[in-house]
Amino acid sequence: MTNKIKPISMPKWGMEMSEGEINTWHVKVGDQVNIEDDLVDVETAKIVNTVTAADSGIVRAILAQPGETHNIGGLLGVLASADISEDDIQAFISSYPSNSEAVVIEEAPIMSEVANESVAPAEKQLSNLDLLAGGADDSHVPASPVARRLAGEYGVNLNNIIGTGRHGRVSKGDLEAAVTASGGLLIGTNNSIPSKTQSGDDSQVKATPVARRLAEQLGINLLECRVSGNRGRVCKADVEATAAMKNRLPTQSTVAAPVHGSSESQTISGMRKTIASRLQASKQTAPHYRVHIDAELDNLLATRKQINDVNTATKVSVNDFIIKACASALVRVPAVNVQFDGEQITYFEDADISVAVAIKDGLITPIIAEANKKGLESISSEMRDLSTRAKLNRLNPEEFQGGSFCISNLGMYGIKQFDAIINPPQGAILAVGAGEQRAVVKNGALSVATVISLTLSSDHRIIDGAVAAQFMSVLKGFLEQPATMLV
Amino acid sequence: MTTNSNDAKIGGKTSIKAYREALNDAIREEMRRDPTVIVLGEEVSGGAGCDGQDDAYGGVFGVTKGLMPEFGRERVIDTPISEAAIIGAAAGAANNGLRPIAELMFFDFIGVSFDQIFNQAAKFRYMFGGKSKTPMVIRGTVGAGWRAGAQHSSILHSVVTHIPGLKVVMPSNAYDAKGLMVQAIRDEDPVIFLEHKVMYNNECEVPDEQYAIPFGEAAFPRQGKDVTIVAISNMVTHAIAAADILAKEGITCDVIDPRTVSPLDDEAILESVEVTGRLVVVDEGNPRCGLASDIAGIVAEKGFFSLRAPIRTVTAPHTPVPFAPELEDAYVPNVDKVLAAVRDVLGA
Amino acid sequence: MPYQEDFLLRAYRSMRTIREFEERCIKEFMGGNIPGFVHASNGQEAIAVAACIDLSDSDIIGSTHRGHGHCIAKGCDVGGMMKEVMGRSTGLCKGKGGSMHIADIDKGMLGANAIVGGGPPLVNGAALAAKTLGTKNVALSFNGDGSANQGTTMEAMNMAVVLQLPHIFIYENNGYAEGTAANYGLGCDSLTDRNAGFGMPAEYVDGNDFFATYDAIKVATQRARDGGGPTSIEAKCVRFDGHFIGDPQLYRGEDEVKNARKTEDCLKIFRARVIKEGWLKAATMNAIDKEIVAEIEKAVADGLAAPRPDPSTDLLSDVYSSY
Repeated sequence: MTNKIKPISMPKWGMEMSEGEINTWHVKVGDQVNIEDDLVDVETAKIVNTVTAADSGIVRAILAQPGETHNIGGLLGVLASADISEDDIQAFISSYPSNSEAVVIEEAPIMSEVANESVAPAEKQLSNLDLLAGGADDSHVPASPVARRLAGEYGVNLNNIIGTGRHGRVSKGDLEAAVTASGGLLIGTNNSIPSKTQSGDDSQVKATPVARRLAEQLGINLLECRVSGNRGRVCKADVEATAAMKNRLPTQSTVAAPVHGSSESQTISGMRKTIASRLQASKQTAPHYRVHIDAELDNLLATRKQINDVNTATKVSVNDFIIKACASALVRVPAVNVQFDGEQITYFEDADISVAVAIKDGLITPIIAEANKKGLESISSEMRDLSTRAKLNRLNPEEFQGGSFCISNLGMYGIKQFDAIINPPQGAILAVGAGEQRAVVKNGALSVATVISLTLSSDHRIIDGAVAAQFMSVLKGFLEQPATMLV
Repeated sequence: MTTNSNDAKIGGKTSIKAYREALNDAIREEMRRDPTVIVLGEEVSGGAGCDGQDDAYGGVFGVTKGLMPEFGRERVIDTPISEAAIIGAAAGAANNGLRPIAELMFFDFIGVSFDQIFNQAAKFRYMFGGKSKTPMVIRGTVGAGWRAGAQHSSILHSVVTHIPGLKVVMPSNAYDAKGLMVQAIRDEDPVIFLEHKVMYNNECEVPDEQYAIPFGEAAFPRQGKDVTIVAISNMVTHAIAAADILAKEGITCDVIDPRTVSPLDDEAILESVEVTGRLVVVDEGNPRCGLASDIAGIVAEKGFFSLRAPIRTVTAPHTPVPFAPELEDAYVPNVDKVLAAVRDVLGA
Repeated sequence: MPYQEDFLLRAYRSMRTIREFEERCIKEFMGGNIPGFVHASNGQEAIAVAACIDLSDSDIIGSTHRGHGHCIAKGCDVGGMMKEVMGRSTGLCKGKGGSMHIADIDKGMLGANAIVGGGPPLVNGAALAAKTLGTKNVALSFNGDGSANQGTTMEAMNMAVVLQLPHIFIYENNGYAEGTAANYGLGCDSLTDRNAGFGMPAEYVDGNDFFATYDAIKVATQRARDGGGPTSIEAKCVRFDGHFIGDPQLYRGEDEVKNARKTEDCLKIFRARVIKEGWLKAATMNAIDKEIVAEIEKAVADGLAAPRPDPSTDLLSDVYSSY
């Protein structure tokens, strides 16, 4: 066990990650953890992954709650050995460099509730409530049980509240009056829809992000809504109820199966947002140009049949061949096997090929690492595994972040030819169409061959035309004469 | 009876209203504010499918009169005679976005629907790890005094108080009835709201505006230092009457109306007993495993050293409710029985 | 082909997952890793999947005590389910529900119900909410042949007709109400005919035939969504295990289960059909089988490693929203 205090901080998984949202803690304060034990699940724009312990020790503090978003490097918790004092732990926490502000509280499923159902006090928004906090032991102050419990939740000392009940007994109403008077917000008490239209600033009203967005969309002030969501927040159902009152609800409040003649809109998901912004940036920044070539696949198809007849366990596909051919071509023409961040070009020795896979509501690019060193069988089974897990949303970040080259294949939809958009910071992307029987001219005579169209989109800042053309020529060679890949 | 059982200040404009009207106000105003509130039960409107008048009843005690004409049969639903289906529908709907107010015409009918109440609605939140909430109200009419016989006169609040997951509310006057009904509809948990049948016409001053009385806060209709009398529902009437008689003799009684049995404001009772040292609990329920024993037990356990005399409970006997008037009158606790109990603990 | 390949793959995967989950539960129960009572639904997979495959998370199902299959078919997380059944604090219900109360409201699964006949009134409620709020969602209750004779079930059917609720009543008739023949407990000759008597369309299908069951339920679901009210669908099926795991099943004929596994296995019947029609390849399904075995294996391992609830915090929580 280490003698020092170790932070549990938000890791950076991949170049684009800037923040993560806490999902579930696997440990609680007091637990002993060893190196690599699971600590907490964190969700990024792409996936959910688990932060593991970098050290062993006892969990002394958990600072990031489920639903909170923290920047990378932010302090999520503290590990230390048992002999470190609480004061030292607190000192460590307060002096930890803070880029760890909880940004947005997402609508989290109801997690570890405290034993008596207390709702989280809205500390950050209560300004002068601190004035009501201090004082001597208030356990003898006459108060109704509900007022006493709520005082605990607000962090208020009952000695500071004027009780209007008999013998000066503090009632819930007295407590709420005092809280409101000192500028605080009441915890989840407005369980009815206010009858008067409210137009004040509702930015301080606690609401789930979904509710807030919906309210904005429908033009509803959150002060007009009932508060029945978890942790004292306005939830989507509350906004919908108020909207229905004002007849502003669309006739179908949930997104049901499409009905003839109607349309529906939804806010885009995190993944779609990411895809949208990255591809827009790519198109706008990298000067794309395209080089097109056709390749005849008949030799390749025969070779494939040869392989598959013998290797009945794993069937190799045309796409596996294309991956292998690209990898081999990239080794021959390394100037295409690059990444560019705007200032520096990075050359790669091996070809890490990203392969575009369509998933529910989006796409992701799992990587076949060092494809140039792998046989077709390995490529085939790896591709199958990555593709399956991609669709189940179970890829690790290093499995889809990175890559030096990308292949996108729309051949299965019958697309003859298309142009793809480069995935930054890669330098190029290959768009593959369907292999189809076409009329070709050989030695002046018409004949039939299975032909495939390949289009390379390259970033002209770092890949010149001649280089791209050379790559395509080499690639065509490998595809038309697969045996040359063995050399 | 024109008093309300509260020393709280009634603000704003008020009118004299009957218990049933106060409930009607509360429900109607909540239905206006919140489109997810619905009412369902037998004859909650009445006349469904018949040739005569629509809204023939508005509830057999008139509590839901006028709601169907305003809100329609989609929100005020007359059901077949199927208590289990009624309560079950309310519980299922509560878990799916509505705030139903289901009625058991007589709370004795809890028998045929009990599984949906105690096994389903009460337990959902716990069994499902806190993920679901069941914001429903079950209204039931309770109590003896109408010669309605054994199967229409039970009070049964002890049975439902015993069950974790349920809240039990028993207002003793129109002012409390309105405020507690509002709170019940807005509450996120299943609430059993018990209305005593002899109180529906009792009037007192009720504010016109909508207000919510929190659960777990008792009211103190009479205050004093010689003896604590805890009473619930219609028994509050008798406790107040007894206190007024005793006041003329120079004995001051601290009358406590818990208003909600679950959650219970036990602190108010304990604080009072600390001063008076003497406790009488008046409850229309039967004596075994009842509310009276429960409160007596709490005080015996937590307030033992404040007591200067044994606790006395005034309850119905261990029998079903009889039909004949003399028998029913002997069954129900009354002012004389309360007076006798008080004199007993005072040693007089 | 009348069914999309993607649909068939999802159907197969779902049924196979249920089969593997249940048979693994049996093993783990026998090994002492699962407390309490478990009622396995192996043999009845086709009905669960046929009913749920087209439903969204906002459509609601209510289940019986034999609810694992319904849960999986509705899309509940298998890992969370295994942890729940093992009573771990990271289970779907924080370990407080267990096998008989397994639920996930977020996925539209209103919960397994340990009370026979407890579900239909609640599912009526979900249907009532859908109707009142105009969401076009539907609600579906799974009912055993035994629950058909419970008063609450019959009340719910009548009320569903009276209020024209979008509630599809699915009766899984596996021939046994606990240890008593279904036919013994049913006074009339046909449950379907009796259900029709309540005033709703009622159909009888072979629950071992995924496609026949799916087609019938699809019609009923659309009827409900279109405002046409409730339907009853009785599906004949077989349960391969006892009423509960550990049931000696003395009431069943000799070799009855063994024969049923040969000739009345809905998964085998599905496979044979899709291969014969050329809709799916055996190899594809075999690959899926392997994946699922690995997935369930992982779920069991994760479940056994998952933390147990802590009485000092978990016992008293979640009784009320506030008290």
